[in-house]
Amino acid sequence: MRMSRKKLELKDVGLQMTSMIDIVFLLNVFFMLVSDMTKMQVEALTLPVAYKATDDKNPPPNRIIINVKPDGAIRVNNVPYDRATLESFLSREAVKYPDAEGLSTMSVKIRADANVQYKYVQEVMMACMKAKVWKVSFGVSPRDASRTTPTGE
Amino acid sequence: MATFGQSKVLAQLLEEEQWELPTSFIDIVFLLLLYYTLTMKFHTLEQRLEAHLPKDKGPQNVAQQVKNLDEVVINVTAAGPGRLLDTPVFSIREWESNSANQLAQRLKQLRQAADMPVVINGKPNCPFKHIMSALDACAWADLRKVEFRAPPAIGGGGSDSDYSPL
Repeated sequence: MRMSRKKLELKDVGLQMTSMIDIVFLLNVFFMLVSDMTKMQVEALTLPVAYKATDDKNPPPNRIIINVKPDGAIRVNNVPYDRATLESFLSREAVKYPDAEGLSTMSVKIRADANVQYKYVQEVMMACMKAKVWKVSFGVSPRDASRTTPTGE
Repeated sequence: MATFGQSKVLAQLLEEEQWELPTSFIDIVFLLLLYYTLTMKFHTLEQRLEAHLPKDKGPQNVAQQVKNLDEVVINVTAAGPGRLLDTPVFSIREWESNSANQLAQRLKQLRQAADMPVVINGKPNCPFKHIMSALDACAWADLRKVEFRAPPAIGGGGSDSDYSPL
């Protein structure tokens, strides 16, 4: 049986530039917003080093990041707080997520500079306690995973 | 056997359509690649050390609390020339060391159970990194019930006996 050969019809396969520009524009907007939000929540700090820390993946949506700078200044979302205002802010946020025990399911991540005096971090922890927030974690930098002891000695 | 380069159809396509490199598409791919590369870096740069505060009690006075004889109190201070305070000093009762590694070993020796209570009593002027080293050592010794001793009053002085667990 002889098959008839049909000549391949060549269609115009030019790129749809308009749609592509739309996509690129949307991507740019998205990246700009994300990077802005990241800057707002996370300050540039030298975090303490820890070996037994866990990856900060899948953080709860109701988590607040509190930054404690080397001079003890407290900042949340790029807004400065002192102890009293932080406590009232945390209390306001904590009541939005109540649990059965009368506490809050909200979590707090304390990102404190490695060289800040401990008393400033204590102030933040005290504010969390008074706001009935008990889920607290500390931001740390990972130590070299190939080392097998806490100090790598 | 005809190779890919010898394909008549492809040759015809290239000739008739004047195939061009899709530069916009490469731009998008490049942006995506850049984004994911940066995000991955953020993930690996920062981790977290869990330290849940006790749920059943707030800051307490020493007079009100019942002293737990099983608990291990890690005193954390710092030493160093001038105001550097770069060397940590960890002590548990009469035992003392400058090494977080030795502290972890000591905690492993003292460990009776995973829920053995540990209290980290850090000096207010001690650099925060030393407190994290002590907490890291607790995690290394698989001790999860860690409390932090609170100051008697913010900005105030007070002796060690005035401190109460958070």
